[in-house]
Amino acid sequence: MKLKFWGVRGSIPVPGPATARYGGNTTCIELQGEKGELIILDAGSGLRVLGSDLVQRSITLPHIYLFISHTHWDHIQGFPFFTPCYIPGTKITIRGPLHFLENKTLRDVFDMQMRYEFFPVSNQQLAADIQYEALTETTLDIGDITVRSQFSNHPVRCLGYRLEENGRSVVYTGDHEPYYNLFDSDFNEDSAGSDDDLLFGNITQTVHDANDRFIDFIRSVDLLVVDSQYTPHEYPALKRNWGHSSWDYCLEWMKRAEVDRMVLTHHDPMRSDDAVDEISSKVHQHAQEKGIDPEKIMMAKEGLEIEV
Amino acid sequence: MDIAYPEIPREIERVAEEMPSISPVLGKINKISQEMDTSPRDLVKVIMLDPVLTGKVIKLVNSSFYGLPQKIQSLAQAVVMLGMNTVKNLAISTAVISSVFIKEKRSPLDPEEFWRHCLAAAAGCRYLAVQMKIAPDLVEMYFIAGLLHDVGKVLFIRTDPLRYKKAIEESNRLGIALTFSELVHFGCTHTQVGALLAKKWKLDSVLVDVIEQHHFLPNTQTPLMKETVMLVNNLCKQESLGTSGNCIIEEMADTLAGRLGLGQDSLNTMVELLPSELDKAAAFLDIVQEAGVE
Repeated sequence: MKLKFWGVRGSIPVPGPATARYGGNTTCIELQGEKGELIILDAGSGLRVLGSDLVQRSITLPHIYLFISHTHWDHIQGFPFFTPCYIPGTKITIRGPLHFLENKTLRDVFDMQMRYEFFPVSNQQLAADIQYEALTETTLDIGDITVRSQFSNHPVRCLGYRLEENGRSVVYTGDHEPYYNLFDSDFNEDSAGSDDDLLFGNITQTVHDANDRFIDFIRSVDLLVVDSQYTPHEYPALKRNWGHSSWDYCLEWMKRAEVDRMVLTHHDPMRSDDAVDEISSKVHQHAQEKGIDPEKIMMAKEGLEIEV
Repeated sequence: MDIAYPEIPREIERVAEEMPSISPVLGKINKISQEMDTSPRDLVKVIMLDPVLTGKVIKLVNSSFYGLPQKIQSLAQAVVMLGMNTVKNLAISTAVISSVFIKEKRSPLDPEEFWRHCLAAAAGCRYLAVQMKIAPDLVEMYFIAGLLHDVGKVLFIRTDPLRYKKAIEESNRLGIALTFSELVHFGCTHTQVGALLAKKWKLDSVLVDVIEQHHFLPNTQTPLMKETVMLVNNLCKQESLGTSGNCIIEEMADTLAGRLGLGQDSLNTMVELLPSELDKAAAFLDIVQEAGVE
């Protein structure tokens, strides 16, 4: 499998000189199988650039399988600008999770961002043959590639994807925060030792189990592409419950799950290229201390290509 | 002017004794869910004040719809796995549906349509309360007033669904107010028995008043809330948002809106907002049915 990063930013596109090296586009990763299967992970603004590239590669486009981790803007906003949507005969299959209780289909959610108030072309007018399928946790095959989905921890329903082909494997976590005991932070002396400890006490096990399950999901992968929006300084003090991880957790996961290589992505929009460099050197230093080969960890960057 | 009601017949009172009460925590959950700084602990503690509701929420969280890998045993676990927002919405929806959902198979009113009517009225009242700048503490009472204004009908259906069918048919055929037809067939009106339930459930006397008088022109100390319920009730009927069984649309929207100081814009916006609320409700109903939660 070959991966190429077309968007590595979280939250919102951030163009400009300060982000020119790593890139300002929001999340989009292209993955090609050995037989040419084309899988795209997330449709952030990087998808626009990938779309332009795809139409220049050949006259006929392959079937495009787009997997959305979740439907927050930074993971779908590139879709209306994806050139293959406008080419008759192009087959696009979009899969991703839905949030609870909205009674909407995945197509409805994609329709919404293309309503006339927001965009001049409606989803109905797109020339491509586009199919939608809402996913929960499942396993399916795209050619020789097996895709397994598992829920991540994010404010809106979010899926991570594990892709395997001929014994090689990649996990893209989507947006993910470590599961934690969110009752800890408002623990106060009044309630210490009171009856409600009995009611909340079993949380530790739930958190533990959920985090273990995440480790199982990424276990022994050849490449882990992981949400690492924050620094240990920012998380958990300032950004807890925002649905993202910090790089110290990622290092821990890499070690525990015996991950071979890791790409840190979903850079914070406030992060300049220099700030990403700074994080990179800290990560490498900490990796060394943990006995992880620093060469095996990369910061995601637009244009970065990796063969797995 | 006081309205002279006939006495409520004993058969109705007996059924009222058996009606499950609206969750006492609904107002509280609604209220804390509007506040930005609610802690997960506060939320869980409030829901847990109602053990029946807690049990239902846990059962729903474990349904296949949520697809959770582990079995959830407590609300706190549910919050960790699904987030506060989801658990909060689930608790509110569960408490709301339990209060006005008709389980009688022979019901002359389609349970889902009736539930839509009640929910539309509730959401509409809350919306208008905010527009009227009602004190935040009272806004949730508007929601409950809208939700429960027709709860007396549930009681009639539990008492004798076939007789209530006749009452509805007769009022439709003759074009008379449903309350008159109810008087003929049951010896009392849904407004009266709704108030009886509200009293039995120890709801605020303001709510009792509003439920009792939502088909009569305002003359009490709580005119604002009553007029709001009347106005929203009529708009919901006019827009066919759910079904109340009552074919008569009281032509007083302009008068009521005038008294409440609401412009046509507010009413139009409210009517536009309600269908999406009802969509969410329909999705919830699917989950409830799938999970087999009563």
